Amino acid sequence: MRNRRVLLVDDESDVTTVLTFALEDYGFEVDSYNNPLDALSSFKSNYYDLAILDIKMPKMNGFELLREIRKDDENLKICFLTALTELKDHKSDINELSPVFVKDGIIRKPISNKDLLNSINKILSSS
Amino acid sequence: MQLKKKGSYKNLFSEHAKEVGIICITLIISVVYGLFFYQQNVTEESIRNGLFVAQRERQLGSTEAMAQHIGSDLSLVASILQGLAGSSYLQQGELYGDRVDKLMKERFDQINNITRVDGLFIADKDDIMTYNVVTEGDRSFVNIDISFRDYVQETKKILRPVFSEGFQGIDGIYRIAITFPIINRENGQYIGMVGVQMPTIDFFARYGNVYSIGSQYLSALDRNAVQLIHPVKSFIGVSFFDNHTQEATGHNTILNNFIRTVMSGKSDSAIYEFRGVQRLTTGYPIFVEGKPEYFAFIITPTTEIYAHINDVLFNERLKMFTLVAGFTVAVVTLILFLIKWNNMLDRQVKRRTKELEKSNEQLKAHDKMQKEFINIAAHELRTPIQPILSSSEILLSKIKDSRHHELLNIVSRNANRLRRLAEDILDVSRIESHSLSLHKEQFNINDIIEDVVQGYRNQIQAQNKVGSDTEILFTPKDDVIMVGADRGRLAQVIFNLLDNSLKFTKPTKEKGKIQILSEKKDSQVTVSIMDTGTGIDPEIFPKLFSRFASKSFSGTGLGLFISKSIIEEHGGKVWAQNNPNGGGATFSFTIPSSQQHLGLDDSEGGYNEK
Repeated sequence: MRNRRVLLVDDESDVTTVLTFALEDYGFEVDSYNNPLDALSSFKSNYYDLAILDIKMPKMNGFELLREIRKDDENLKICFLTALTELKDHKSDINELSPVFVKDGIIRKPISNKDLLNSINKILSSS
Repeated sequence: MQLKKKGSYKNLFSEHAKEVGIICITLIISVVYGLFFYQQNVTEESIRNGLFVAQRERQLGSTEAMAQHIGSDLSLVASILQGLAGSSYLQQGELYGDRVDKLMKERFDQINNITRVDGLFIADKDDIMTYNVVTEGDRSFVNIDISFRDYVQETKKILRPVFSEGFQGIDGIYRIAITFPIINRENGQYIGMVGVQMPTIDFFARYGNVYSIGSQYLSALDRNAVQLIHPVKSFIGVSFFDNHTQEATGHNTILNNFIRTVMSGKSDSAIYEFRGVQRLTTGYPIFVEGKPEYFAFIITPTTEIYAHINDVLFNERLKMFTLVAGFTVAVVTLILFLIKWNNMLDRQVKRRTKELEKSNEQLKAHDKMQKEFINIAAHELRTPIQPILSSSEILLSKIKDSRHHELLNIVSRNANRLRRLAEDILDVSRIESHSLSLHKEQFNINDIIEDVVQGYRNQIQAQNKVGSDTEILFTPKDDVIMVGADRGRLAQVIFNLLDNSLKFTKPTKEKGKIQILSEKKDSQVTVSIMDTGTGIDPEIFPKLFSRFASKSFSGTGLGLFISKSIIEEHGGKVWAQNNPNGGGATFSFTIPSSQQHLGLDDSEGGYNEK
């Protein structure tokens, strides 16, 4: 079985570095980017099983990035990893998502590596 | 909505209050003025009537006084004539000559001082005028037979003084005569008579206006109702009841009855119209020696009376209008003042409302900024914890050296503590800004307690904390206790209380024991967590549920405060007590239980996000 490929996007390089190490330890292949635009161009030329997106980023937020991704790929599995508690500013974005996704697909920072792994596995095993 | 509606009605009312007030005041003033002017009219009418009546009374009085004056003047003349008739010359039949001339001239002057006469005469027993004093330039009628005069015949007949009816002299002048018979005192023989003739115009002119019909004038009748004097010349010498006069006065019944009443010897008054002018006439008999010989009248055009009355009324009105004008000015000033005052108050209220709105907006903006700040702070606090947690977790799995391991544990533990502190501080911020929002749903509280207890057991064992061998027992009295509450928040409360109990159970030497009870009673759920620790220090007891009251090594010092706020937000309460047997403490909370087992509608049950 080949390794699962993960696209990790977060503007904090410490976060991407550490999480890349952690996920690689769990057997994932990780491409991480601190700039969403770089991530978008990488997504266009590579295959991924999962994209882990931060929400609050400069230039392009997680939802905008998702919208760009969805233009090319409607099936890519996605989860958001955010330190935000209040998502009121993104109400219209969230309304576009399915309730199941909102429940499982929005993961709150900080989270232990183990818990993150559990969440990711849950998403990957869902149909 | 209801309130807003109520408010708008109130606004509607207060908007129109000014208009309603002005209309009311205008109405009241109109009514007052209406009543006032009505009263004024009535008063004027009664003043007019009163003044008219007074004028009539006054005129009656002056008519009486005039009649008495004329009567006494006539008596005086008669008494002078009596004196002459009794004089020694005339008694002895000496009816002319120098001595008589001298006496007669003296008396003529004397009489003319009383009233104007144009002739004093003596007639003998055959009615031949023997002597006649006349005004200078007038014709003397000595030696003329005057027997054709009625008064001459009458004097001879009654042998008493006569006050004659009117008669016209050959010069055309209308006169009356007063005669006195000369009777011998010793034998009673008729010797002759002395008499005066006086022109009626000259005579009556002494007592008032006899010429002008345009203003108040005098009129007089003799016993035959013949008019002795009148400004209308053609009336003189004509009976009042003669056709000429009757046609001129328009056969006026009121006037005719009035004349008859006066001629019957009583005073009277009447209003009649003559020559297109309304007149007031008052009449009084002229009594001489107790007998009504002539009749005097004063006639006044009513316009003259009213002119007088109008003067009085004008003064009254002037006073009244001054009063009204004063009152009006006062009321208008008052209204203007009230309007101005009202406007000023309006402006003040508007200004203050604006100020309040502004400060309210500022508060809202401030509140919004505060919440935004909390959210950003939360994000910024959590973000750096993530790499610390993840790094130490990775390293812990890779480094086997126990000393390094211990150091990494410290990093990890403190990162976790920092994470909890961040969450707790954020919760406190939410509580204090009243933006702690609950997402209520229906669930069995025992399931939650079971989950938390299980999770907690795993956690303390995994971390190998001090006191991790503490026995945690959960014994629900009822299998299912449904509540409508925020699942996550309630779990947080139970976790906090459990964590708190464990901390205080820690120092005992024996194996600790925490017992959890849940019970439903009277639609209230009570959850108690009893430990066997040291109990609560009496010093911190009063401020147990306030912030940073019980700061411990691993806690944040905010757990109990947050728990209390969450429970209160659910409509319940939380309390603590030391166990009676001296071993440990019990923390309890109650929240309302829900009756139905079916789920509530989330949108209805949940507290709205603020």
